[in-house]
Amino acid sequence: MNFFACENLSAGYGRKEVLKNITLSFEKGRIASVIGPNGSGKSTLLKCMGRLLKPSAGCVYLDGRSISSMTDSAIARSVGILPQSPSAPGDIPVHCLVAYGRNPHKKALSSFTKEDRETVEWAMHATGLQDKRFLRLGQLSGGERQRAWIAMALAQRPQILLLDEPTTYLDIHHQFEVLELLEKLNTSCGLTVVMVMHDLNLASKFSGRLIAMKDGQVLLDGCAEEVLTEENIFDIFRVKSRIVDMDGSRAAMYMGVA
Amino acid sequence: MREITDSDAKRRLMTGAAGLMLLAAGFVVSVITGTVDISVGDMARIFTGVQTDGMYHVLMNIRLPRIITGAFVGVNLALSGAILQAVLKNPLADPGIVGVTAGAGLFAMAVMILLPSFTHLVPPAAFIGAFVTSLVIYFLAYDGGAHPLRLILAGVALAAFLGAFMSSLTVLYSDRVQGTVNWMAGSLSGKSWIHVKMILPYTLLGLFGAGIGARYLNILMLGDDVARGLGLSVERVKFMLTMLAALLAASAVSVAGLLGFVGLIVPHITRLIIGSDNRFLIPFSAVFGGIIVIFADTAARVVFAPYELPVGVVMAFVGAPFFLYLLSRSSRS
Ligand SMILES: Nc1ncnc2c1ncn2[C@@H]1O[C@H](COP(=O)(O)OP(=O)(O)OP(=O)(O)O)[C@@H](O)[C@H]1O
Ligand SMILES: [Mg+2]
Repeated sequence: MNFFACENLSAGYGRKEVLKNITLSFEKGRIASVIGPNGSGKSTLLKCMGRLLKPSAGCVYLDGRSISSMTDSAIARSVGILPQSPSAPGDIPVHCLVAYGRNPHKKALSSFTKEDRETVEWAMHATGLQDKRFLRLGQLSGGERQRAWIAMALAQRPQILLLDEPTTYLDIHHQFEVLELLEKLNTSCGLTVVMVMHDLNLASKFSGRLIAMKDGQVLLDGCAEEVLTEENIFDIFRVKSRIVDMDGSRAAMYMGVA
Repeated sequence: MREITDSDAKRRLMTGAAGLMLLAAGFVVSVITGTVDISVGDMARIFTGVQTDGMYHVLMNIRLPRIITGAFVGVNLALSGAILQAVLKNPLADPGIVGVTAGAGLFAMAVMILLPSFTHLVPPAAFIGAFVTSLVIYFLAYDGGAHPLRLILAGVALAAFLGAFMSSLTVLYSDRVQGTVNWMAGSLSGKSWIHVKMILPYTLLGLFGAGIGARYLNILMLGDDVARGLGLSVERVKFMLTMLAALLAASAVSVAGLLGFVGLIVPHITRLIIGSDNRFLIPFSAVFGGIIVIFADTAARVVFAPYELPVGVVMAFVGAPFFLYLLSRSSRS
């Protein structure tokens, strides 16, 4: 079922047009990765889908309803979005940051309920942060901080999570940690994930669908086998590569630009 | 939920207790010191209605309203600064940034210089000048969203523009400038129950509004994109909180003149002590704002007695070095 979609989406900043007429739809319970060179419009697309940026044309639909007709908190109850490298005051304790995720479920004066508390607890467990709850953001490593932000987005209990480069700055171990966490949430809770990724091999390992963008348009859209080919990589990134296939998982070896 | 770690909770409790004690101490010290000596015993007898002589008049109609006005002015300025520092994500933000100082200053000065027989119009004029200027700055800076840097730049530009008018007034009417000096530096001299009544509604509104807003301020500090992702109507919240801050500062300067520095240093000092969580920063700033102005005004009354300094001068004398001390201490740790 297509429950999240964008139709003829165009967007930009001021007079500068970045996204050109993009139509995409996302099935429930899948993980999709958006790939493409710097400046190709990946973040812009994600921001439009998470209504952080108003499109100049076109529409984003959630369960068949245009999100422009929904309130901010109604969208936030279904769509969680983490921008590229978010920042926060370093003295916020982890559990407070995670608790902010409950905001869309709260009215101005309503107090923290048992359900809120349990959800925050669950989000911290899911991200393996239960022992770090009283540490402050400034006291965490880059990977832990990234997981804290993801925990915040999880506490929101969204059906779909939009993540902009969730593994940037992380070492391989922490990259896998974050992606395996998303995979686990995807299988256990049916969480739909759309993420921007730069590492093609990790993207193809963890997502059933790769969307390749270039110059504000969708160049390719399909499963890893279809998208991750030597010709395509050259078309998208101008990089020569070899594709190796080992035990069913595909990986690109990059040979250089010359 | 176990909201806070033990050490955080303890620190807040201690700070809160210390704050309330300081507030009480400031109140008593301020009541009993001055040109007329009033002892603590006199004070108790007057408050219980036993004593009703000349001292009663001094205490009830001169000192008490002045102290209470000062406390409310401090509360309002500190709340205003705390809100603006969070909305603009800038620890150096103060009510001057949104044009309150420039707007109130020009309007009040115009009344004092051009209409010297209408000095009772100074508070409303200052209030209108302050609030209208903040509105103008907000809309000048608005471009699909109120970006902090644009707000700050628009504020600086408009303040310079209004400052030019003020300078022209002081040059053209240099003979009348004398009467504006006290007001320009911020003074609580001669404040009566009328002024308490003028500022009280804004203090109540401010405490209520900032109390509710604290949660939203916390979320705003995560950045506009994250805040919107968490379902906050970012632009609406920013506008309402900025206008609340402008209203608070406008009400304060309209009764006390251009009392600077409180809105900048009180929230800042409070943040150094208890951290950036606005649910605590807001109420603690309010208490500390009241305390600081009460003490500063007491000093202003007695240090050079029988002469009085404007309270703003004392604030700058004592507040600035203390602020620098705290800064150097916090950067070392
Ligand atoms: N706030 C902005 N104002 C103006 N132009 C912007 C803004 N953000 C992005 N752009 C421009 O839009 C284009 C697409 O940017 P976008 O951030 O979507 O790229 P991206 O694919 O996410 O790149 P990266 O891989 O570097 O994150 C770029 O040319 C960029 O210069
Ligand atoms: Mg990007």
